[in-house]
Amino acid sequence: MKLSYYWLKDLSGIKISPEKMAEILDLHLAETGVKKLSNLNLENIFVGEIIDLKPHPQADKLKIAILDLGKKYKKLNIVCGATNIALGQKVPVALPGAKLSTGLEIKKTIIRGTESEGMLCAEDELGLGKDHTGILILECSAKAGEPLEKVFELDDTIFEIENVALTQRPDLFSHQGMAREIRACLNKPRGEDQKFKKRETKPDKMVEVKLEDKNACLRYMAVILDGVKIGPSPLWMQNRLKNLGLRPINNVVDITNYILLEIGQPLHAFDYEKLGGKNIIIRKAKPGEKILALDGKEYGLNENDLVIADATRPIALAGIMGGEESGIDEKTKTIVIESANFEPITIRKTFKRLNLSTESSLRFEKGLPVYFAEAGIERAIELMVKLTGGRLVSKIYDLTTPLAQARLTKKRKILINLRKIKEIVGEEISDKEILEILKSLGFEIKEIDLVKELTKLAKDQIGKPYKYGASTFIEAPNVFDCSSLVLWLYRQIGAELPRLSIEQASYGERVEKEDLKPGDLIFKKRKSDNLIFNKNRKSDFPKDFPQGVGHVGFVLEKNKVIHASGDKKKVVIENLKSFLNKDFVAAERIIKDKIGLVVTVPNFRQDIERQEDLIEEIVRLYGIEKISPRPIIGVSLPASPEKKFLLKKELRNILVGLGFDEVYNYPFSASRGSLELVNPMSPEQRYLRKNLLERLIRNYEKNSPLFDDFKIFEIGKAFSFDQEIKQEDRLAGLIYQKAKPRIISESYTGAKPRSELGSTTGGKEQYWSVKGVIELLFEKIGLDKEEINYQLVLNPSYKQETAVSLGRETIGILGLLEDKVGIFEFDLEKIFNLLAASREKIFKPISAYPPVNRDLAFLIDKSIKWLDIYRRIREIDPLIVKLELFDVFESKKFGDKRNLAFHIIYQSQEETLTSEEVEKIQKRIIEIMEKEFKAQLRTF
Amino acid sequence: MRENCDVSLPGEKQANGHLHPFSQAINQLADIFLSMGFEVVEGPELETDFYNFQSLNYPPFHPARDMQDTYFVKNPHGKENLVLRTHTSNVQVRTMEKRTPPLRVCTFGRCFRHDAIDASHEQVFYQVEGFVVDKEISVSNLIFTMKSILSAFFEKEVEIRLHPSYFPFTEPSYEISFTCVNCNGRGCSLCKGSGWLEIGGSGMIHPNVLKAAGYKEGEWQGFAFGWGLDRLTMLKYKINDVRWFHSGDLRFIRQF
Repeated sequence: MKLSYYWLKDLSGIKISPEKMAEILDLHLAETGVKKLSNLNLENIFVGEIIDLKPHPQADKLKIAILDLGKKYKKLNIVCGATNIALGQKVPVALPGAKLSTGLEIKKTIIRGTESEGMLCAEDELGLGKDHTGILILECSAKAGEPLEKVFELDDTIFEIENVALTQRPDLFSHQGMAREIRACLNKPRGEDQKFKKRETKPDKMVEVKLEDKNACLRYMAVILDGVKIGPSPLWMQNRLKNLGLRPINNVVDITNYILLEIGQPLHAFDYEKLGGKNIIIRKAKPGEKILALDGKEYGLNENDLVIADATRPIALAGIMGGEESGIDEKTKTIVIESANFEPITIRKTFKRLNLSTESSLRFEKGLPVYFAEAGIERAIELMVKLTGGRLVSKIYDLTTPLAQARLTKKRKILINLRKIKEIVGEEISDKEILEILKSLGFEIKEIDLVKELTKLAKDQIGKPYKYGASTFIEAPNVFDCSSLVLWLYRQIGAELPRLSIEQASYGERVEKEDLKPGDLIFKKRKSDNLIFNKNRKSDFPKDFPQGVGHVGFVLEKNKVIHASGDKKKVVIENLKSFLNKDFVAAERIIKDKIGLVVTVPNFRQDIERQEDLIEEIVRLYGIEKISPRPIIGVSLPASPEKKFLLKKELRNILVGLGFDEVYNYPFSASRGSLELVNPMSPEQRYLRKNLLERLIRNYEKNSPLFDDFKIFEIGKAFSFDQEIKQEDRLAGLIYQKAKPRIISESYTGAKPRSELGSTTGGKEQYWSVKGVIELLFEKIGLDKEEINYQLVLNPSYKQETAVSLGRETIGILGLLEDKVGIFEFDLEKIFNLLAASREKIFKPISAYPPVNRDLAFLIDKSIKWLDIYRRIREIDPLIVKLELFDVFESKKFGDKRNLAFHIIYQSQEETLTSEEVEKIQKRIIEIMEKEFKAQLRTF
Repeated sequence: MRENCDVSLPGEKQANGHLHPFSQAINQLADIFLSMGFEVVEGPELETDFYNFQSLNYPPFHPARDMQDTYFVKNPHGKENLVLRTHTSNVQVRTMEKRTPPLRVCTFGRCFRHDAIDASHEQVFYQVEGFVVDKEISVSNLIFTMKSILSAFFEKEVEIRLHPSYFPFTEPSYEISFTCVNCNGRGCSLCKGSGWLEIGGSGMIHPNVLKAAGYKEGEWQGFAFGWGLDRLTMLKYKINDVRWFHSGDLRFIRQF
């Protein structure tokens, strides 16, 4: 929102510099941008008063004007030919050195023998407008000697505050509201808002106003003016609008816009003659209805859109934009001015759907105070009469719903606790200062004997009719049910209670029957025949009160109780004893203090609902910069990250140690297979990614021309759905090596297949590289590598893919994208769940006895997996402590077989092994290999 | 070694990877938070309207939702669209409803903004968030905590400046700026001459949020703050364009 410094200065009556004003707004309200205007060059042009006017001795058509320019220049002679000047007028005077918008530079000259010390200017010569019919005559309030720039506020300073920072403050979307706020910030007594004359007139013209939708429109005011002359609005008004970014249109429209900026109430003007049937109906649109709006576009409407209609068609989109067909044009003579209050959500839904945000909808969507409508229409009448020549020719129509009526008459109260306020602020602000701040903002504060006030109010309600489900805002205090009575009572002293008696029963502090005091609430069991309660509805029978709560009464002094009785159909007074006699459930105390400070919220502050809101106000005006930082006082327990966060951190560190660079990619994908976005910003964002590899492969394509080798990884979420929606953490990596490997990855086999054939897995360095990485990762994070299975799968996307599983779960894949590119992707959720609850490492004693190393080599069928052999041999004897494959060799001469060679390390914890013992086990191995794997022992 | 050996020759190259600057910043911040007794939790990126908005006191159709340019995701199982979280604050009620205070929690994560990308605004951005719920928590504690963490992160004493603002889930709410770490507050091109850098929002947790978490009214208080991790990381490493982060360009990553 944009604000004019001059305007704020006028309305607040506070004379401070623009810089100071910006600082106040910035410190106490919201971040404020500042822009100094200077759109026209009006240097050396001042206001002059014509103090004498003489004929020119040499020329009939010319005059000599004597001008007073204040202190600096007294009595200037200027020769002028315009016919519209007269004695006493204030006019713009261009002095030597001034440059007019026509390009003319002013100098002293002699005109027909008479010296002219400057020039009187017309509107167009100043660049202020197009008029050239005569000299621009200024308002008589202009001061002689004042720079012209000031008169038209062309040197104004514009403050800009982001709308979102003021979302909860609809009262500030106007200069009047902001001026009020500035006074409060400077702790000046709150100036009254401008008062406008209430006008009465004998109705001469009529419209029929019908408020059909009382939910979407809370108040509708209208008035008719006749004899309106459409033309441009005065320059000062045009300039204020222009300075704030609005385009002047004509006097009527400009006045409505001016009032919108001045007091914050959006208005609309219709051409009376264009209203079909002279009807104004506030209703929802009918399916298929359309409206041509003032922006020249046609909008299709549906039954959720609120419109203003005449007898036949919508004539305005309520609270958003008027219709072209009922709008003001140059021929308009009679106008209807609307000043209304629309319900925020209705307006918001429509302008969001139509993508038609306006100054008006901006204010209505935040919920304007209902009383603004009155101020708006009164100000409109005043300005229309003054500036358009219009006459008031109707009564002021004012249709108000019960809700609006309640808002107009009822003010919210808040019971405050100064000690608690200071505790939350964390700064010792004096009571006096707190109260002063609240008062300056328009809050009234009263010290009240709470119980006395409550009991007095309670007694006043005796005899009022009972109505089940009575509204606590609109209907109270005219009708009550039992819980609305106590809620309403407590609201009057600023304390809030839940609406239902069952909720109220656990809200305060429990008291015993014997300790009851005035102000306490007594809750009784529901009656079994009461149909309001639903046996199956859990909330009717909460844990605290399995018997349910169905009635509540308010304790008075002298052992009396007041309650709204459903049986007697009214609010009654009863003896405490008889009230307690039957169905007693519990008693509660809502307030502990006898005396309390009750704050009454002014009706322009609908955003203030509770003490926390007041704390914000107090800190804001006290000055947040004055609050000193203080550490939290309290128990601080050892803190740790979630285990999954730690696991990811650990994986990152291991991978970086292995030479991997980490990337972060966008979690979107152009290809189907996962969840679809409703509003992607580009085709690349149509879906959420289902894996991480897709983007890693793009990273590879981007980096491979730049680097000969790299390893990259990403940890992030992938998305999918079947029965349920999943978003799981994944780890994906990619290894690229153009040249021969320099850093040899150590997998636990220690072997890389050699091959003379080159057609099998042999030769694909990167495959073994990624596998080595994965094995190392698993070992580091504590997954049992012996439990992990690798299964070759076929995937057309990749050159080779292996599924990795643990137990029955597939936990990821690894493989080759192409010969030089190894890839892997793992599901960290699954891995995390499979990790042992305790990942603590357990020390294995180191044997004091020497290990014995032996090697064996076999020719063995290619279809037999190393892992099966490995597991079988490890089973044979506990003295085999290590089994390391060191060579895999394939050759034509072996046919379907391959050569596997491995180290076997024997070691005992108890003794030095003898070669006999080792040989015995060696023999067992050879036997098993030959028998179970049809292997053929080879000699070295 | 021989006497004429050229010891200035480079040593043998060792394998060495690089953590993305985000991860480095997160690690450092997590350590700072931990040292102040904050635990680290994480939350989902694909979120329900409830945790991203409603539980944070954004009623449906509230104009405050405009502050969040939201990406919506079709819900294959339900009518109501899911959202890509617009802030890490979705973690607040998710954590609170599982736990009883006192709570000191921080979280780091990816968030989404449905808006155009430029050198300082990303559609996919990262936030760091901290919140505390306890018996006696004040605005003054909030200021202290933020000042301490930022000073530790930038390894120099910074000043904090708060501007009143509006967020539905805090009351009061403040925008936070801190002393420009480039010029120490003297004014430079980075801080546009103001001497201050904007970093995010903060405030006292709104009672409606504590209520949504199932806490008894009036029993607990808290503060919360959320900062742009992109911005912090850019400031720390003097990165000039936010688009580098997702570039996947190793010429960028390998500098860290």
